Amino acid sequence: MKIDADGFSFDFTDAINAFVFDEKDKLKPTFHGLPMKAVDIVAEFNDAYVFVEMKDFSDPDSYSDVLAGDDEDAKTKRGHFKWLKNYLKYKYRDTYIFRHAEDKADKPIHYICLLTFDNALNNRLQKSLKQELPVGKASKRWRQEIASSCQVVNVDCWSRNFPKWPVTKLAGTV
Amino acid sequence: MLSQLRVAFLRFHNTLVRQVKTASDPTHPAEIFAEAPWLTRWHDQWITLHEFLPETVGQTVVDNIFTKGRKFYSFAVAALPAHAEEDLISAPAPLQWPVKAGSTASSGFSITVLRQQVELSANAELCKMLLKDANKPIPQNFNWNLCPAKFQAKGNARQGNLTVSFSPGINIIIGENGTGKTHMLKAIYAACDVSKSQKSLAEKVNRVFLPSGEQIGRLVKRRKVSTTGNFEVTRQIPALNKSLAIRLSLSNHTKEPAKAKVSGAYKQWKEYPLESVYIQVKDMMANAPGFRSLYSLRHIHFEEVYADIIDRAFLGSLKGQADVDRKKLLEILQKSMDGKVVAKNEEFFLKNRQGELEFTLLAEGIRKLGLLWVLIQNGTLLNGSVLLWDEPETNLNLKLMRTVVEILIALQRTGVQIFLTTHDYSVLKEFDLQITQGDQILFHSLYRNKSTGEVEASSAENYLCISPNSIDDTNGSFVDREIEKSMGNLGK
Repeated sequence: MKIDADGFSFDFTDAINAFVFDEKDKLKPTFHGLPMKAVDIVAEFNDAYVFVEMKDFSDPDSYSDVLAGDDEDAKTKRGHFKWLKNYLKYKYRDTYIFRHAEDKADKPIHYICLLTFDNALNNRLQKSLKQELPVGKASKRWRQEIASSCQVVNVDCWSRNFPKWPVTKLAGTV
Repeated sequence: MLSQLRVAFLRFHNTLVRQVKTASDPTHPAEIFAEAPWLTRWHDQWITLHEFLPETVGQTVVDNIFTKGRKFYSFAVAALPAHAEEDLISAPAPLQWPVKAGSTASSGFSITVLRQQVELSANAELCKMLLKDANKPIPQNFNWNLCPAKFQAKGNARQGNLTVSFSPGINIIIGENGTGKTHMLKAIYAACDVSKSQKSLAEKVNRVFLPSGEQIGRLVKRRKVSTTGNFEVTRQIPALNKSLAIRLSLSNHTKEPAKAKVSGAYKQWKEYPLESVYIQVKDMMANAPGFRSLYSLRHIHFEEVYADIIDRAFLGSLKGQADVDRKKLLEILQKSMDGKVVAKNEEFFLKNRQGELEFTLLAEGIRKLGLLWVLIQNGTLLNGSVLLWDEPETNLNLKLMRTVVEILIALQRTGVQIFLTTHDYSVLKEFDLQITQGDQILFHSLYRNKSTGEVEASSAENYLCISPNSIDDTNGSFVDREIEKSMGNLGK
């Protein structure tokens, strides 16, 4: 099932269904249309849903706070990092609410962010996202999870780990 | 008494292995191999210098020798044949006994201690690694070019040669353990250093690598058949507008440096001396007192880079005011370490408003900044000199690393050629973040060819283009395992 979105082309070969969740075309049945944030792609499989969000940054270093010191530059970087983390976090949460209202949150949901960072920065972002989404049954009162897992990967890592979902960058993108 | 002392050191070494393993949680047995024997040797030397010698010959005699030099003794042990180890132990000369006289003769307390550990615990994987790494050879043939503008690449791929062309600015060498990063640095350093010293290339290489028994042939990759090896370093002499190359060739049967063949433009090489500094992983600034005297008087089992760096640090200050560039670098370092470095009676101190703090009481990271400060202040690191630094990240926190990288980039701008090895992501990333247009930097990745097992190299100007990148691959493997753990076979 081929999907083009945000500069990338995916083929979810074993999916039951896959579509652009953040659909802007009013004529399509998957049109989103609400003032809520939305991930780029939702794919459904036999035993799980996968939410996919992509970001192709021209300057990944702007989001690196791994090496932050105590000067203004580092503060700016921390600001970028926080913005990105919140951006990815609220996209997921709003999408989850939308899908819950659709009664389509009946299987474990995995969140995959496809970014153009190196693995070390992805690790750092993944840790923060997992804590804040949050992943798993974070409260003793929860009967179900909001997210089963969260992965932050680059294209190499995606290709290595998801051979059934080949991804390519669309021509003309950076 | 000898055998008891030997057992004591053996037990001490084995205890250190356990402590090192517990305290620093090393990720690779090679790290234990590096740490525990080093600590054992150090204690051995300390006991010799501060207890054994004063006890046996008296403090007055020791002081007299260390300040005025030897009068009646000669280094007969240095020339002992390989089988002399037992003779030495059974009939030790008074002053020869505990001080290591080259690794063959000294094996009672250093190498043999290690081997005993291997023999006593032959089934342990750790010990297999120790044994393996203890005999780790350098690649069979390797040619290194100190910078592309200065150096020509030569080599024969069919013979498994390794050829690397370096940047005239900064060179960062990465790769897994056992790919020869440190060997590469040491060989380059030896080639640079002989341009200024009386030592031959073979002699310097032997002292810098310190193979067991100082048998230089042990540096050649060992195979079942007789094997030859060589390395060649090329540099360009701007004044001549031409390249000069020197080469060291030897076989695994070459026992003495004098039998190794040094070829190339060796005479011309020495006509154009090159200032170079090799900073090893272990700090030596705090251990400087007495070390130089000990090293010059006795044939102690320390790679020569340890003595060389102390010699460089003790060079007197340059006359006159420091130029603007140097002054700026010194100020950055002074701000980071909160003081200046002063030397008194072969001992280094950090001097600031609170007084003078000896280096032994300073954090190792600060000592590294102190060493850089001294080398810049005394003019060792100036335009045209070469700095080789093995794993600068050791004992440096991220904030200090930022300062170190800032200094290194600035030194490159003043004309210093720099070689670093690293296993640390933050080192790579700091350089990636701090370099600007016009800076000259190359990242070199050493890796083993999966089919041939030979070490190969690839170079990249851009951090993101390093391939293979052993450091990022390690981070990537964490991501892979996380996905495997939380998503199972989904997508596979």
